[in-house]
Formats: sequence, structure tokens, C-alpha cells
Amino acid sequence: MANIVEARDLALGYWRDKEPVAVLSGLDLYIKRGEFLTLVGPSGVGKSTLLRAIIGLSRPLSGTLDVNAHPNPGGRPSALVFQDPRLMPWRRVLGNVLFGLEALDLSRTERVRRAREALAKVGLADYEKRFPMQLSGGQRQRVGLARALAVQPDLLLMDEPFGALDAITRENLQDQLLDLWRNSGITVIFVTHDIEEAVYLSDRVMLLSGTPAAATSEHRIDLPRPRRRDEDTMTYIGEIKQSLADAFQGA
Amino acid sequence: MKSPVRLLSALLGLVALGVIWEGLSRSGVMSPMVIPPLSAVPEAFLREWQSGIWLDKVLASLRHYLIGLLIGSVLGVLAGIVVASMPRVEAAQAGLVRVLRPIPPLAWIPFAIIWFGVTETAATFIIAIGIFWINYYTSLGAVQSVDKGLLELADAFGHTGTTRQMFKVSLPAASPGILGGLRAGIGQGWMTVVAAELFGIPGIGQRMMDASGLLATDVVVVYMLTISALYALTDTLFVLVRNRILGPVHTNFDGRVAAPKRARQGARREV
Ligand SMILES: Nc1ncnc2c1ncn2[C@@H]1O[C@H](COP(=O)(O)OP(=O)(O)OP(=O)(O)O)[C@@H](O)[C@H]1O
Ligand SMILES: [Mg+2]
Repeated sequence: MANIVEARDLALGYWRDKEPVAVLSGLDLYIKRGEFLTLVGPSGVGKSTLLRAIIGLSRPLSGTLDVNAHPNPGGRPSALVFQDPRLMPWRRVLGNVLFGLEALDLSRTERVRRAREALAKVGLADYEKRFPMQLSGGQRQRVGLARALAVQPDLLLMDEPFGALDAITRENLQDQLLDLWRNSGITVIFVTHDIEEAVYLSDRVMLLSGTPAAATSEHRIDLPRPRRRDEDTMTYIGEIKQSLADAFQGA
Repeated sequence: MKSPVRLLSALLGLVALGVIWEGLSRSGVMSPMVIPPLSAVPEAFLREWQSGIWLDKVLASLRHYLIGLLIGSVLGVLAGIVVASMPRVEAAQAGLVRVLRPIPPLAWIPFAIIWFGVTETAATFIIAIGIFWINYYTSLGAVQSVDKGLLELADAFGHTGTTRQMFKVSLPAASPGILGGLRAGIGQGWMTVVAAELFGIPGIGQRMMDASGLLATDVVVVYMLTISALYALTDTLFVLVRNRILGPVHTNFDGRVAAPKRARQGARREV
């Protein structure tokens, strides 16, 4: 199957008093292996809900959802960077990054090596002995990012991973993420509220809106890679902003 | 308040109590039968000590206490953890516990005596019951209130299965709560130890009962203060062990920063 994720007539949501409440419904989604897809849409529309379903934390209310990630040896099929960093307060930074690696069949030395490597990637090499409590919000988010990178997933799900970062750190991490993606051939599903970020990173930007939500529009970003923060990018940003505004009005 | 000031105030309070106490009995306001003069207490202690009774009774009580503490704590914590991880059992225990839990440990004395006679086992049993409930409830609550988001995190990163998640997530997350229960049990144990012995089971309680029969109030006070001291000792030891072994965990759960050793000296430690 060329598609790493396939959803047909998918409905997602939660149960209230034994009744299903749909957050997303009638969603058709085809994500190609190796694609970089970004989801945007108003707050509460169901972006996190969709990522949770893809990684297997919740089951569809109806419809089908197939995920076909292949782990490389010593890696996980998929990994999620949670919207809240979700760190374990009793583990140090290194311990938090090791958490995902502990479920894999790796030697202790290899785990630590990979955890340190991931921490270096997010610029936290000197922070491994700290506790989450001793980090800034942006640093915590980067630990969550390192934890996901460390397990070398085939499918990387990222829920607003750069939200709490300053512009320079953010651009830096964006470029690193693009390097990683290009060099490893993994698939990335990214969620952000920042349209510029969405356009700069993605092959395709998908807009979710409505209640219950569905994919209302889709933009293929045909900009050459490596990406630049230039006028062409601005054109796309304008287009998507316009269609977002329409979606808001339709909602 | 800074800690030296606090310590000084605490000392002052104690000294004031001693002065008033001594004054009341010297001036004849209170007869020594009602309250012995404070100055009589060291002498009474010396008598108890020299006759070997003090050490004897304290060791006997310590034995009941420690065995009861061990049994009650281990069973309470284990039961709490196991029940918390099994929703069906949790639902089934709710009614049972509602009936059993309000029964104070001392209300078990009649049964303890019927089952075990006036023996050390009976005292140990009563102590263990009180400590069991405290630990059962705190561990159950501590494990149940573990952040669901962290369990989800474990699922997402391949740590699946109840047992695995228990060791990877629930127990470390619940450990401050569980340790709090253990500490409360250490205190509660001393409260029941004396009462459990009042019925003639050898120990501090029995000695106090005998002394009060002879109106030897100074001896009674000796053992009251002995219990205070034993409680302070066990509690301090526990806190030391807790802070030593699980120090970083606690500093973080309390929201305090684990500062380097040198900088920490000035900070107030919660004891
Ligand atoms: N367990 C739940 N119980 C009730 N409502 C829920 C539950 N989980 C999610 N929701 C609702 O589902 C909707 C979608 O939530 P979701 O977190 O997916 O939104 P989102 O698009 O990620 O928003 P944001 O951009 O603010 O992160 C929200 O309206 C939320 O209130
Ligand atoms: Mg979200």
C-alpha cells in the first residue's frame, strides 16, 4: 500500500452517557508514505483527536482507519509529540527521553546513546540531569519532541510541537525537522495554528472545520525544496488564510 | 518565618509549659496526686530505668508496634495498589469497606482478646488494623488519581499492560501519596499501641495502667513522654529515609527546585 494512513468515512469523538458524540465525521484521508502533511483548523475542531486515533489511543466511532507504518529495526512504527509536553515529573530529562526507548529491544548503552543524540538535536544536551519542573515551557516541549525522535518512528505525529518557542529556536527546529524528514524518508503529520509554519514545512496543508468537522479544503504546496521564507511562500500563506476565514464563516 | 526563630519559639513554648506546671504543683494549687511536679519526673524515670522496667516495657511495646506496623503497612499498601488496578474488585470492595472502615482499631479489642487471648499477638493485631486502613486508603487513592495522561503516554510509547504500566507509571507517580500514608501509619501506630496494652498485654500501656492504680502519676508522665519521644524518633527516622532515598522525587512533586547540596542548607526542610 502506498498510503501510510487511509481513512474512509471516518467518525471520531467520545462517548457521553453511552452515546457517541462525533467530533469529526465523514472524513476521508489518504496520506502517502513519505509525505509531510499539516492539519490546521480552529481550536477544538478535532486535530488532536485525529492524531490520537492514528496512533491508536482511541478507536473510531465508525468508518475505517488503516495505519501502515513499518518500524525500522529498534524503532517504533509511530510516535506522537503530545500537545502538552506530558513529561513524568519524577524522571530527569534523560529519563523522560529514555521512556519510549525502554519499550524497545535495545541495550542500555544504545538507549542512552540515542536519548542523548535526540536531546542534542533539540538543543538540550546540557539539560539531561534536570527535572521537568526545572525547565521552561519551551524546553519541556522540546523534551517531548526528543522523546518522540529517539524512538525513530516511521510515522511521526506532532501536535503543535513548536508552539511555545521563540522565533529563532522555532525556525531552527523547523529546518532540522525538514532535514530529518528528507534524510530518513519518514512520514510526518503535523498540527499547527501557524499558517506560515504549515506552508513552509508541508507538501500538503489540510483544513479541518465544521461541527462535526471534516476536511473542508486542501492545499498542495508546490514550492521547491529546500524551502525558503520568500514571496512564493507568502502567496500560499495568503491563500490558506483566505480559505481558513471562509471556513470560520461557514462554521 | 525563618527556622531559627521558629525553633526558638517552639522551645520557649515548652519552657513556659514547664514553668507553669512546676509552679502549679509547688504552690499547692494542684496536689501531686492530680499532677506530679515536673521535677519529680526525672527521678521517676531514673527509678524505672534502674529497675530495668523501662527498657523492658519499651522493648515490648516496640515489638508490638514494629510488627504491627510492618504487617499493617505491607498489607495495606499492597491491597490498595492491587485493588486500584482492578476496577471490578474496586467496585466490589466499596460496600465492604464502608462497613469495616469506620470501626476504630480499639473496637477490635474484644475480638482480638477472644481470638488471640491477652497476648502480644492481640496487641499486634490491633495496631496492624489501624495502620492497614490508613495505608489501604492512601495507596488506593494515590494510584487511582495518577494522571491518566501519563498512562496514555505509556500506551503511545509501547508500555502496554496493567502490570507494566503499574511499575513504569502508576507506582512512581503514586509514591509520594503512598509514602504519606506510611508516615501517617507510623503516627497512628503509637496511638493504638498504648490503648492495646491497657488490657494487660505487657508494654508501656500496661505499665501506665498499673502506675495509675497506685496513683504513681509521676511514672505515668514518664511513659507519656516516652511515647512522645518514640514517636518523634520513628517519624524522624522515616523522614530521613524518605528524603535520602526519594529526595529528588519529593522535591519535584512539592514543586520545589532540587538545588545543589550547598545551596540547600539555608532552605527550610519540611519535616
Ligand atoms: N473526553 C472528552 N470529553 C468531552 N469532550 C471532548 C473529549 N475529548 C475531546 N473533546 C472535545 O472534542 C473536541 C476536539 O478536541 P481536540 O483536542 O481534538 O481539538 P483540537 O483541534 O486539537 O483543538 P486545539 O487546537 O485547541 O488543540 C473539543 O471540542 C473537545 O472539547
Ligand atoms: Mg489540540
